[in-house]
Amino acid sequence: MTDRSVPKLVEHLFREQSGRLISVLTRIFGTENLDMAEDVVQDSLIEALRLWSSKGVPDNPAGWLFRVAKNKALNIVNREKYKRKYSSDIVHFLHSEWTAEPALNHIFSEQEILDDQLRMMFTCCHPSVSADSQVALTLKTLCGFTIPEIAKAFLTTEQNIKKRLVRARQKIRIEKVPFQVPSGNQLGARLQSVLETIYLLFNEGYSASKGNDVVRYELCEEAIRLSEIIAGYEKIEDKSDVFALLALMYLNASRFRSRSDDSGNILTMAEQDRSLWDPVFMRKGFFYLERSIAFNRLSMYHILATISAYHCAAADFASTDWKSILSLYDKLSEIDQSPLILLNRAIALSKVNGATEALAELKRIEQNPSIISYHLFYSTRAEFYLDLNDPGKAKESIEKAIALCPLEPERVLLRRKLELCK
Amino acid sequence: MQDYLLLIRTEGDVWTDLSPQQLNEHIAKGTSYIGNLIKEGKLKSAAPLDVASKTTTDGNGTIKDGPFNETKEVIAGYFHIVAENMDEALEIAKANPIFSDIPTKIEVHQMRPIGG
Amino acid sequence: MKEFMFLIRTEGDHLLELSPAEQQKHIEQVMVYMGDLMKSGKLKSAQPLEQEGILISGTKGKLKDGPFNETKEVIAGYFLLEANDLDEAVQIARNNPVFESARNARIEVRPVKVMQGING
Repeated sequence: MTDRSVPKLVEHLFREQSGRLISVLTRIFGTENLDMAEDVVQDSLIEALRLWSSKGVPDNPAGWLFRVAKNKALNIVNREKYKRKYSSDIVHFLHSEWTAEPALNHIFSEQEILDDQLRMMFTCCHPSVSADSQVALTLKTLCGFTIPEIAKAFLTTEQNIKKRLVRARQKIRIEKVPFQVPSGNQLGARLQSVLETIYLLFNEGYSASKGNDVVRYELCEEAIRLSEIIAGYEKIEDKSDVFALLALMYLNASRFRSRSDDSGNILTMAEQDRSLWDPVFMRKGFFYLERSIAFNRLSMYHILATISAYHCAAADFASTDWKSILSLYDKLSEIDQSPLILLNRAIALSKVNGATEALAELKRIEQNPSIISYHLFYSTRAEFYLDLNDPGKAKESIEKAIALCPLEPERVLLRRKLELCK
Repeated sequence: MQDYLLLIRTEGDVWTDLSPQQLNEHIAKGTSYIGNLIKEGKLKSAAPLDVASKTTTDGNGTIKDGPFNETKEVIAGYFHIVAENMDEALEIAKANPIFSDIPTKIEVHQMRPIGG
Repeated sequence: MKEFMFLIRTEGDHLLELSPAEQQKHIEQVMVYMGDLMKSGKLKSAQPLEQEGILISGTKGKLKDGPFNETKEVIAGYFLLEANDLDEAVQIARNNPVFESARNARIEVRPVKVMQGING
């Protein structure tokens, strides 16, 4: 391996291993010392970068990294100046010659590392931490995202993300949030907020127009990886929402690569090349959808996953089962009246009952004041006017949409539509 | 669950009697024994004790410090474990690999519960 | 800071020999002693032990259980605490109220072998 590839390898390792490592180290140091765990991982990687650049990369880089971090942790908890009290229930084992090594072997076993990541999710998504900080902290501690990457994902400044992270860690320290998966009747409610954070994470990655493609896809992958860990956790009895969310994410992510053309232009679902849809992801999506239904409960995730499944199941855009999709949106709008859902329902309505009825529906939705500043409202209306062969009104709507649209790639798509109005 | 203290009694600093290879093998066995106790949540703490020590005695009103070596036997370390009952505590104590490598006795004490 | 284990050795259950008033006094002394140790952050744990117990001896495959009090002396309890050095630990042990209430009590003061940091 050449010297130049070492930084790349370390970067890759960081992305892959830092969440696992930070979680295990937090088990040792306690949630009040989350920053300490992050520092140890950072130090270990810097050491790797320095050493490997001059002496070459060891056979098992990840193993090397874990060993270094393990020794650093052992030194820290045994060093005089750091001899403070740690809240963790395991740190005292590291003080004894007899128990230090067995305890480290135990803590660093695969199963414990998985459980620790789960504990970390519930720590990051503790109700005392605000929703936007929950996502930022999850990305930082569990997904190996750097502050600039998180800032890019959320279209905000690094300063802003730093502040959110500091606040989140502070809250966790003050509230003495335990490093554990809650049990009993607390588990259900806390699981919901973990799933919400994961879904937010996924949507940040999936929303078609934000930032860098590679980072966005990794956000989606991370959301799926974290959910898979939850799905494997035995103590959660009712996993219907976990499975439904996984189904939704796999099915949507299966279309990820087909959503833009070679020059980065966004493609509508009608334009997408369906042969590019990832068959492995689709299979996994259907697999989880089936498992989620076994619980006989219907949440937003189930409905959204089923809608996504109808799209995946259609051989081409024309054969989409809009009738079934419409009835699913009907159900969904009983749970959630957010503008995006109402708009999507209107689209399904236009396919089933025609654009005239859909336009009438938009008139009704327009009463909702939050929707009139939403560019998708106008681009959807334009589609309906185009269906009705009214390019003049369609043009008017698209121009409004362009004026309101905050993101360049979507504006490009809208300008392309404007061409159709001539 | 009850708390038990296991005191490991050996004769002198026995570890020095083992060859490096024996010592390595012994450590490997000990590591897996202790690792299992940790995994099962049965170990609260365990540590070896230094041989150098002092005894403070009350010899008819006078307190004196003396080296603790009037017998060859010393307490080489302790385990604080939790177990269902004395039988389980004994079972755990007997599984200690130290018995196969070093002349040892283990004293198994039940800790007196708070308020007892 | 070093860690020490105190093994309290007494002849039988010395508290049984005390009158109710003496017992009361002993308990008060213990409270003060423990309270001071806790306040100074030196005490890690302390626990009295049951008089009855079992001594396992022999070698693997041929282990036998027996009483451990071949002598009158038993280990009546232990303390795990931190002190700067052996001298300070001995000083703390000397102040233990067991010396006031029990005849022929002994405290074995043992440094716990603690982990040193490791290289690499």
